[in-house]
Amino acid sequence: MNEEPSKELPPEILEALRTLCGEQTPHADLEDKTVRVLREKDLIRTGIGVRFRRVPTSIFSTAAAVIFFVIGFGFGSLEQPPTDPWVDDAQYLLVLLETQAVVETGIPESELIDEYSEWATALGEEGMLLGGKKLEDGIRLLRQSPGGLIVESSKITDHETAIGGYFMIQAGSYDEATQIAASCPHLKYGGSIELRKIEHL
Amino acid sequence: MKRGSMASTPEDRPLVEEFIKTRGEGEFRLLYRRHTPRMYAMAMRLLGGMKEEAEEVVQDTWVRAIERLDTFAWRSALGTWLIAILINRCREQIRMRVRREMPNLEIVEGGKSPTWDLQGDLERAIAQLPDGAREVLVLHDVAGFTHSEIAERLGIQQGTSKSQLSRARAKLRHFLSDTTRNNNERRA
Repeated sequence: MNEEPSKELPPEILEALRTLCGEQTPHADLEDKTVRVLREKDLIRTGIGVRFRRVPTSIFSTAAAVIFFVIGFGFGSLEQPPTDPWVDDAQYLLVLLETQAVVETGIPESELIDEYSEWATALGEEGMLLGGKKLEDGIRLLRQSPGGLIVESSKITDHETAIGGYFMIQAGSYDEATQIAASCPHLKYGGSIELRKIEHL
Repeated sequence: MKRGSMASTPEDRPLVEEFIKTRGEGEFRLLYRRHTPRMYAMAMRLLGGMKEEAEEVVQDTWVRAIERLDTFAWRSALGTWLIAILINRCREQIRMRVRREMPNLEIVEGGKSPTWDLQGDLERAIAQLPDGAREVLVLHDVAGFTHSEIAERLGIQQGTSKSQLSRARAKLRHFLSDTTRNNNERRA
């Protein structure tokens, strides 16, 4: 609180000054520019811990369906024969985990689909994308109990986290595979990715 | 809570802790969107309405804050801490600024205000104040800081803060009375 009443300004001017304290919005570009500078200084990392946008499950499912269709149409047979792990790059599986949180994104669905498409297409053109599939929403969980086999049916929406699909990539190292996974827009929109190296027996 | 300090929202601390752990872009953007509007408003006032300079200062403030964020001890609200960094950055900007030919309030025969809007007149008057006087007026009369807080943030004596405020208010009063006289003459 201020210590003294004004001796030089009438009350209505002081009141007007106080109303000047508020909020103003800078140019919309400033946010992205600031993020770029922070990235260049290695003070933030893109694609890790990003939860500021989430997509409704239905939008993700639609986007994923389009992505996988595009990949299939554009690259023909997707399941490439395993490469020689001793000579060629190793293969990795990106398991896309969907969460149930539904928050308005403010992003048009077509832009979302474009973003996933661009990412997958770019990987394919660089020869790193080996395949991918979207999984249907139905889930059957099998487990053995003392009383016999139990089969539990559910849907993806019944679980806090569930697998929505996968991509298979090839990369020179786990670190490279991690970088590829970190660039997937799935992370930006609230999902998470389990990255696993395929073991060749 | 003073007008100029932005108390941390309940979500600030967990968000900051998460950001420090992950350095995630998403967490940063949330912090940015939460605090930037007030930071930018303060920068605009302190820099006399210079938009590009204010944006540059806001960006630099965030960079400095993020560089030091893991040493922030939560002895004040996050917003207050950000404003403190911003104020220092504004002072540096003012010192670096090429001095423009700003009209001296003693010799200008009142501002030619195109509108009779008090808020607009105040904005114009504040922009024309000398830098030191403007800093103190904005921090005291607009943002609500005390003289001891101003002295600490600006590295000046409390007496200097008080005299700068007095000078700023006198110039403001002079400018506004001349503006009112000009407006009345137009109406007549």
